[in-house]
Amino acid sequence: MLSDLRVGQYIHGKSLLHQLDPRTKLWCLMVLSMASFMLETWLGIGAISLVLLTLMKLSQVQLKWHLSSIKVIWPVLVLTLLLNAFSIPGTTLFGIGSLILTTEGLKAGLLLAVRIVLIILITSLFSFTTSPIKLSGGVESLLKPFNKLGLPGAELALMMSIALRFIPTIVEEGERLLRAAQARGGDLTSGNLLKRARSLTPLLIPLFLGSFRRADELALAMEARGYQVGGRRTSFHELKLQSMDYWVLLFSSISFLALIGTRFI
Amino acid sequence: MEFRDVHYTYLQTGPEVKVLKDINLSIFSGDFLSLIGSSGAGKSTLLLHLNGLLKPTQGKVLYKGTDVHTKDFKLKELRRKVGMLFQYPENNFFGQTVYEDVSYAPKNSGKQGKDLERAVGLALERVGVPKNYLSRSPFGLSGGEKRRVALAGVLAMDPELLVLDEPTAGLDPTHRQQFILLMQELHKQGTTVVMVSHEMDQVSEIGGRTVVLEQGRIVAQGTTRQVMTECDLCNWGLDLPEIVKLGRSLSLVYRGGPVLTEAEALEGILQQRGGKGAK
Amino acid sequence: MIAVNDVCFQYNSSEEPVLEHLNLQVRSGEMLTIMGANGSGKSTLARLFNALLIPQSGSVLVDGLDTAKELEQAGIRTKVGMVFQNPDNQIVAPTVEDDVAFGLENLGVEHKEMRERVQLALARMGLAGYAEASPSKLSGGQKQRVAIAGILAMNPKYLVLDEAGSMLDPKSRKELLNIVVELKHQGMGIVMITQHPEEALMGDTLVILNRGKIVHQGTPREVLGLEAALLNQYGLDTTTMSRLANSLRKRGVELPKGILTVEEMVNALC
Repeated sequence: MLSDLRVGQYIHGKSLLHQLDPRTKLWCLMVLSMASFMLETWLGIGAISLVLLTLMKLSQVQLKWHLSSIKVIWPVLVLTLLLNAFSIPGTTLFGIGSLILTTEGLKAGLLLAVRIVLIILITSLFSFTTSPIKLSGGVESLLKPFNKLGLPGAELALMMSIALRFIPTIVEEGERLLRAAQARGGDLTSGNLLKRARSLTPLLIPLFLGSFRRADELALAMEARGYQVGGRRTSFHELKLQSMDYWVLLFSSISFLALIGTRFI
Repeated sequence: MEFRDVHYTYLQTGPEVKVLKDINLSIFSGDFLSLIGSSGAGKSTLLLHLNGLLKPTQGKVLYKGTDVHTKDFKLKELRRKVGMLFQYPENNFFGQTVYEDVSYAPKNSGKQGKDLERAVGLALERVGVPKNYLSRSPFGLSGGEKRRVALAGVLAMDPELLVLDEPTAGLDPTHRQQFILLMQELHKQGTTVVMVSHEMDQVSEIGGRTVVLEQGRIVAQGTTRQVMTECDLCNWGLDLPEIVKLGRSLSLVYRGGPVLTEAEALEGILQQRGGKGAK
Repeated sequence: MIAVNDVCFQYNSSEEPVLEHLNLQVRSGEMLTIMGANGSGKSTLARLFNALLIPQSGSVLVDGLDTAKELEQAGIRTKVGMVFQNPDNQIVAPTVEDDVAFGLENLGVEHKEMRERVQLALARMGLAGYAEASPSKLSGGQKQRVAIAGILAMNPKYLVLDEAGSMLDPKSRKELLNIVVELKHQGMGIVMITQHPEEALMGDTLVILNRGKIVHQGTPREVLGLEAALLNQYGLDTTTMSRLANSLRKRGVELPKGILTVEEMVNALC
């Protein structure tokens, strides 16, 4: 059910990727994602897939977790492929009535689908190897320079960390509500999308009210422990770039620059 | 209702967890069955099998002799007959008014108009919530009232079997007492009750039958009197009811057996003292 | 000492008062237990102790610091730790150690010292092996221990527990109670709000709150020894043995006053 969802989950480990500074990984995440969209030849896509596979191997995360994150978006991929294949004009491969499948469309659809797969794999690789708390620490430290401009970096990072803390709790709560509804004869799994959506609406009331109450109580608990908005805070996690981080940053940046270079030449 | 060799394994990211092992259990019409055990023993998981919300990984759950997970069996029918009140049920109100929430279940089973109104009215009457509450928001009621409205939401299906997961948790003592009386009243009216409870004193006052669950296995079952007075609950991380402790220390006897309830202890002590006085 | 002096409180000026003319003291190394039905004002009272709420009249002084003075509030919150009812809604961070560190981060404690204090607090609560665990994977009892560890890390002098055991199973509740009693022996001043007579029994002073007023105050033995019918009026209950003792007395059995536990009952009857 809901808890089968693996996207955005951290898998504990001690691999090289786990040890990298979150800021380094954020940078790599950005570079790799942009590269997957900039590369237009299959050779390029192949190259970046190779890099990604190596990284996946390095992460020591079981292959099934990587695959499970693709499983979730399966329908999106098929839809992307079909929409492109039938909507882009070009050489007709075959046609059913007014629907015409073109070679160009198929190619474009396939490329886009592969890119989506790449992005999903890259993002989930990042989340599998970066603990939420390190991530929010990384974001906080990256936003620090903006503090002077009035951007509440520390608050944003705290918000993120709280959100991460409560995702499992809210998923649990959703599951509990589904069960309670089913136990009272609620039919939530059959019928078309509209019917299902309508049968879920009564569940939103307790879900929202529960969340509001939770937020209220949490705010109180935070205040009780001396939290003040805008107060000077120190951090339990001190981020420090290691030599490995510098190497990775250097290598990824040079590769990225080279890639941009080839586009302009 | 019957469990035959039921196993349930919970699949998670980590290693699989065997929550239930070798469960063999029969629930008879007219039972008041208490399910006790330390937390994590699998009590709530067992309850979820009673209306088919969970499917055993191994073994069968039978309702009047038919396996509830066969194709022909209508789980929806079963869920109408097995009313389930979850822990802290006031967190699961499915409506903005008492009427809306209590009518949720009967509406789902196709009741309309006068029939629906009658079902709601009857359910509220059974839990002792006055009619003028119908248009009120269930969220604004007191703790005890909320719990009773939640119960009405289950009773509105007119279930044969009432399943309650820690029904009195979080209530203050007077409301706790009221709620137990209410459950006993419903039981008298012919509803079969299965209840998970952590409060041993509560279980011993209610009587009926008791099943002890420990690490997914049934380690004891029998009448509550047998289980409470003959078994060593401490072995399973449970406390003895206060009265049973007292009864053991003083060897109190009521009608030839060990005492179980407060009233029995009172008579037992008076008898014992009376005997002493005569000597 | 925390001194509550003639405190009145109401949420909105239009509504009726939640607390009326309360006077209480909490001393180091002592436990004050407060019993009251839902809606008696006990949670409101709890929040007055560390300046989460400020009384309209009267004062709450923590070691001389006034909760009404904004400049003194930060200091008060370091001195008075608070454990809430719902274990789920008071843990802020996605890992146990981060949550324990939260209060220290707010205080601006330096990194190295923070690590040490977090480790120490976790060890004291028997959570050393759970430092990197996700709180959502813990049991209710463990979550409450995380909450207490987070407070201990701040080296408080007083601990307020607002029905902290009410959502736990009896075993975890007893463990929590043992922890609290241990902290009391170490010199901490404790305020424990509860509806369980067995917990109220552990206090040095027991106060019964009904509709915002203190209706009984005394040793737990005095207060819980009251007629069950009287306590029922306040939505409360006494221990099974106290109830039984009262029934026995009515049937002509002579028993000493203040029987609360099985042991005491056995001694009285033998």
